[in-house]
Amino acid sequence: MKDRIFIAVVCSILLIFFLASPVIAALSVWGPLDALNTKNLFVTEKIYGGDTPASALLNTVEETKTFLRNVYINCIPFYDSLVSSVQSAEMSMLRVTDNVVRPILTRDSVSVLQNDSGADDTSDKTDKTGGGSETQKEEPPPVDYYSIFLGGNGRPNFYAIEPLKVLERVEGARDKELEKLAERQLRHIHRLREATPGINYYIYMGTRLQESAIFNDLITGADSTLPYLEFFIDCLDSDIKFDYMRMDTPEDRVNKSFRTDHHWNIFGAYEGYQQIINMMYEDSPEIGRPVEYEIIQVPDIKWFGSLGSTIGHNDMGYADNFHILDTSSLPRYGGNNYRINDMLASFMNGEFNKFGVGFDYYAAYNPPQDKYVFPDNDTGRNLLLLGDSYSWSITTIIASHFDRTYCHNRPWTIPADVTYDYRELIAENEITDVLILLYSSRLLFGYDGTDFARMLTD
Amino acid sequence: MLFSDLVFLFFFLPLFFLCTFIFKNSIPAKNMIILAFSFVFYAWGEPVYILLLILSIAVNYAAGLLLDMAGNKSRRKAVLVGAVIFNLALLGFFKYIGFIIENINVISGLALPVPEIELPIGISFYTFQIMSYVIDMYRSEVKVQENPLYLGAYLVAFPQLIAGPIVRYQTIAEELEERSVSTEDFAYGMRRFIIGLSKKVLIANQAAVVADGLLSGGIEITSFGAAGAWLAMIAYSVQIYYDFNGYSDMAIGMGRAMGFHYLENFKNPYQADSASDFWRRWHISLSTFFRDYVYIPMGGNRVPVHRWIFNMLTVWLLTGLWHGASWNFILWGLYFGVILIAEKFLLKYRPKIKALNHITALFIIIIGWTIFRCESLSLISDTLLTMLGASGLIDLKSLYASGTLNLLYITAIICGIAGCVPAIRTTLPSKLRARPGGATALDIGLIMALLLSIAVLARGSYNPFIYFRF
Repeated sequence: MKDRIFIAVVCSILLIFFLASPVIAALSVWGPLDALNTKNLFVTEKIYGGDTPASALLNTVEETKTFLRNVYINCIPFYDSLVSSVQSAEMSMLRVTDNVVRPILTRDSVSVLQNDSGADDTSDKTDKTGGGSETQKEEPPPVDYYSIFLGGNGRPNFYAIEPLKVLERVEGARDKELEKLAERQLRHIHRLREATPGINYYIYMGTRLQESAIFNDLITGADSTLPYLEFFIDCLDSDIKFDYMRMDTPEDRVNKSFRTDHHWNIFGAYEGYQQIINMMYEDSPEIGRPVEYEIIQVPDIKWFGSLGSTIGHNDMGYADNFHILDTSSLPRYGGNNYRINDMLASFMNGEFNKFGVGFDYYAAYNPPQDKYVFPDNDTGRNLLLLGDSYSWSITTIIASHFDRTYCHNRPWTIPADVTYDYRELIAENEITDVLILLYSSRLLFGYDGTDFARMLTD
Repeated sequence: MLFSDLVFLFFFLPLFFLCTFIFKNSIPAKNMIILAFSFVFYAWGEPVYILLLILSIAVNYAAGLLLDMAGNKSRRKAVLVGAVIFNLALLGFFKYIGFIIENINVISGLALPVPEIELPIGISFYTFQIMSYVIDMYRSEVKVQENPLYLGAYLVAFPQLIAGPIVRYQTIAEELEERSVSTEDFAYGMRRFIIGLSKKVLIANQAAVVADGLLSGGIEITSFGAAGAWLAMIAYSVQIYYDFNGYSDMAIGMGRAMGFHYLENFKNPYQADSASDFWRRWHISLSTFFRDYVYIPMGGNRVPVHRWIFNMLTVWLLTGLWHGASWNFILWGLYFGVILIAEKFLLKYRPKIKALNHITALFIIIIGWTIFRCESLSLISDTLLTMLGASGLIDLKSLYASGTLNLLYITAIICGIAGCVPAIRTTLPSKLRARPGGATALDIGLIMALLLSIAVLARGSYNPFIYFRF
């Protein structure tokens, strides 16, 4: 190829991206395109404090970088096609390796009682007001479940489970490390408890498949963390009440957690709410029994959650529907600006289904709040909720049982590396009950910023 | 900003070449554009440390002027010493002060506060680069650069600012004042850039997944058995070569497209038949720097044997230290120092079996990379012992759980190894180029490689859910 032609071709390729990206960005902001909403979320990474010209200049530099990233990454032409084509190639290569290695590692096939027929089954959950699997009247034919290793570096790894059609995230740390981490979490929970006498403590764990008894029946080549859950329960002080989401069958896995996201769905969360309030009711009947809420499906939403989109395995074809609680009977509340019934109306009116499969509907519907005040309650009880994104989906309805509720979510309310002494907050706000509501990796091992050692300063 | 960043490829680089094209007939304008764009390039990562760059330019520019004006040899020496001390002090403070204080605390039992200083990107490269200017000025090997903007353009030119090669001033002194870019130069530069980008994105980054997964993932290296440990180190050997060589290709390519002829930094190092041969082929700009500015002034090999050994160990200690403020880098440098000393005496006795010598050299190199890559002495010993079979032959379950047994990554590593074989690396392209339409086929291949690299970079940029951290 002559040099001029080669230069022309290469320069043309670069110029197309150079010129088209800002046009696509402009059309996304002012026109019909939506390139900015459904992909990477770039935020300004560094913020320089102070009111000096230098800090203003540096902040301008940082904002410019964020702007350029948004334009020249999110808005490049054919971005979706480029990403999905490489993802497909990665998937194909993974399947080849998996088909060779997995049979060597696979244990005997396990037949289980319940049969699952795929993503469409989630649409059958309308009007279901409680979680838990239904008793089967007839024994269905046995099912051979198998896992496909999708990628990861050990912490974590990602799998697809067929024919359940779910994605799963699996922690791969070594045994000794997990034991040390679990022991450490327990020690510091007990310290916190001892430092705040007279307060009722409750712990609820959002269970992952990896802590369940069925884990090794569904996933090959990874170790269950059920022994650490059992260790945690055994060593927890008897005056701290504990409960967790049950995942005893493959159907539980499908019914209670999203197929493509690492969170529990509203069926699992609502069951969790019921278990939590029942647990607390035994000590404090004034908070009342769990309220019955109807579960409704938001129409026209199909999404790929964190596992599906982030790892890039939308090619598996799994997808989730989105269900919410009908909270129209919820009493009035203040303390924050989140109007859950307004959000409910927006979702049901279709104002959110325009965002497409990559949008995080879970986090959009359940943004974290710091405080709730239910002025019409007169229970005399105030709650401190130490939670994470699992707690977000039921914080409002839990808070509705208390006069005031204070919510801390590490590492967002308090940065992960900061030690925050909770004694003062508990005393100042007349906290009567503390609920620790976390998903398992955080509760058992302190992952992702939830290190209980940082709950007291001494 | 990295060369393999989409913002660099689609915004920075096209804008840069557009600007230089507009002012293609004005050398001052082109040098100003290089300076301005290079500051922007650097500011992308570390805006505050631009001040350090400006300080370095200013001090060394002044040193150059003083060296030019001072007729007296002792005054010239004083200026040189002052400039070198300044440059090394700057490097020492930002790169080594924490390491020094940590070790003082360990040895003395004191508890001195260890400062946490962020390392300015590229400081090791540009400090050495500007020292070469001052030293060559002292030796009267180059003329003074009276224009501080030109000197700045030489020092901070973005193609080699953060990852080399270390460009001696004398290499491009004339081109700073007078240069042109022919169509052939620009085309060569583009081709070289695409080759470098492909090496980095398609081979190095994929090999890195295996190396990092096995060495830095959630599972200990001892769990994988000898096969896993060797896979890790072979992957790392491929990664480091294609990463660094890829970057050098991109730097040389962009330099050529700008009218500069940078020297080669690599010459097929994995074809070496000894460690000595390896170091004539690997990171040539660094080894020649130490040779010309440390080893030879110390006397080189024209000294008694014991003094020569001291010179060698000093140079290799400094080489290790240059790579990082950590004991494993020092150990790595001394490892090669000892090997090279031994080879000086023993090479003549080795059998003249090419394959055996080549394999031995590769073994020595890979052991060296093991020391280089593993950040602690315990990890070094664990990895080496596992490579020797201390933890068994293979643990397939652990390897599977590590996520590295992916045909995509293994294919990239195999391609990387194949690319080191002379028949594939040079003979095949030469034969193809000689055939009718062969050159066109190669160029089409390059364009496909560019598009594939863009696709892989797009995939790598895709991280839509910060909420996943929740």
